[in-house]
Amino acid sequence: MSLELLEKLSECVEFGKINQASPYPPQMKGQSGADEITKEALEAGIAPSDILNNALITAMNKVGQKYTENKIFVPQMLLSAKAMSASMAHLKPFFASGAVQRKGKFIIGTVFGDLHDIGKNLFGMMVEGAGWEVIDLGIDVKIEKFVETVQQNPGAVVGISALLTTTMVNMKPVIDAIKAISPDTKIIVGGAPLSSDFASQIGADGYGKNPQEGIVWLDKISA
Amino acid sequence: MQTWKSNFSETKKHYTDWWNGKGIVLTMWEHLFKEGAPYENILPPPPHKDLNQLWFDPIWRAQQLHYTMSRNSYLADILPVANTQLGPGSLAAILGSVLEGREDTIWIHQKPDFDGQIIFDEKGWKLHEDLLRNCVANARGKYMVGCPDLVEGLDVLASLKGSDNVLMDLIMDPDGTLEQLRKINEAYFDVFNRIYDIINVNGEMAFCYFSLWAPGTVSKLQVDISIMISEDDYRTFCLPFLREQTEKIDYTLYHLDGVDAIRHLDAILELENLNAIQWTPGYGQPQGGNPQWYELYKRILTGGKSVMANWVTLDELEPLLDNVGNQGMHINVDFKSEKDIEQALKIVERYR
Repeated sequence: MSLELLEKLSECVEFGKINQASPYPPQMKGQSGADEITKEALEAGIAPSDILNNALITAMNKVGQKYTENKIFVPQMLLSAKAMSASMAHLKPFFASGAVQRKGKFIIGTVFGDLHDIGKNLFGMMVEGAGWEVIDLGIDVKIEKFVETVQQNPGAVVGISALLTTTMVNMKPVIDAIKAISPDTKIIVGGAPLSSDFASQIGADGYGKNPQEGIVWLDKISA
Repeated sequence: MQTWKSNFSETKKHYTDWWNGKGIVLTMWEHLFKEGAPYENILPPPPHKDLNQLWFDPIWRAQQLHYTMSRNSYLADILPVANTQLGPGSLAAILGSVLEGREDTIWIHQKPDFDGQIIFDEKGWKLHEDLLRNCVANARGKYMVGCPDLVEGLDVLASLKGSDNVLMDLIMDPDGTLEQLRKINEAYFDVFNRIYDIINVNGEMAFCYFSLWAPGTVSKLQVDISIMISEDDYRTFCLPFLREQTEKIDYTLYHLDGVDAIRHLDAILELENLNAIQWTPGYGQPQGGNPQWYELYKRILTGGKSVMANWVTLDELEPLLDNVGNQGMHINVDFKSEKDIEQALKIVERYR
């Protein structure tokens, strides 16, 4: 029963079935979605940590892998992330009480001067689905905001996004400012115009060419 | 009134040939100042008071453009075209998105409380109209006034309701999305025709982005958001609307942006009336003159479209023409001086 529910939930997240009312994917029309199945799983006594580790994280890993292989694209990935969020909403109280431990905190924002949010949002959702608590600072985030949030959340990892060649240069002063007050804070950067060489040059610890690469890096540093 | 570009008729021939798959256009992105005296001693406007004036004061902007146009070099095929851009995709501003001017660019914010309706906003149009009319009043045949970078289709819809929402709606509400795209195309043609009426010179038109001139209506087309969608979705949500544009506008160039957009090239090449494809490799990739892109250019030419190669360096010019050929090539070189332009001209003349 437990295994069956977890498999069903994992399938909902993998294929982006948010709830029963959601028309997508067509082959699951009318069936329960991530929302209902998570509720059912908790009522059946399945541990929230099992839901997180054995359904959500497993599913989001598959989603990331399929995206990397061009088997799915951003719309499908967004719906998977939405399904994951629908499930995660039921788990929030257990995170708050400490009954379920997350892998860590992840602070994310689009660098100042840049108002793009799709890459940042997508990666934030994937990171949450990978078991991290995500603190989303939004777009056009000033240096002071990153620094202040790092100070308030010792040990958190930071992710900075930029989508323009004109704004990616703003990442270095953010990294410099964070490292100045917290040299051990790990920072990952991402965004269409970036490269691993550029990430190294500006002093970032990690670079995610795509969300899955970012998740792999996070898993590595949190292991 | 005499144009400030002394070889404009020669350049017009190069462009007309290029639109038809022949010859070479040699130009640059934007402009550089000419050497020596300006064409006329035009005074600049007083320094802008604020960012609002810098971008959205039509009289100030028209005067600033008039001043710079009087000092730009128009050697080779560099066009005498005033850049009236109001942000990347200003059609969205005519449909309710909000423009915000910053030091280096204009940002377009989502329409507040977008309810799915595509509604023409006269205030957004007035901003375009005033800028264009002021520029035309100054130009008086000395230069042309370019069409702003309107953009279309899914990119405009993303400016209205956000990229995430657009992408999810491709799956969750495909019929509603198609209806919104139909309405966006209607608005596009309405705006485009109004602009053409204001800026055309004897039926000829110029477009601000990617240095375009044509002996009729002309536009640059794009779907930058397509790097995030599948080939099937591209055919459903992009191709029909692009086709309508290529059928209604005399000369069209498609802006292919980024390596991930190449997967849609086969579909783009199916647009029978599309004339040309511009290639933007993106940051971190070798730029337009690199041998890595020769095969892509050949694929485009074999597909019956002309090529626009951007950010080509002087030393890449000759190998590019040797390998890709001298027919249907529009080459934007990153010139630093008029001496560079003359050097490039010497090379290109050997291939003409």
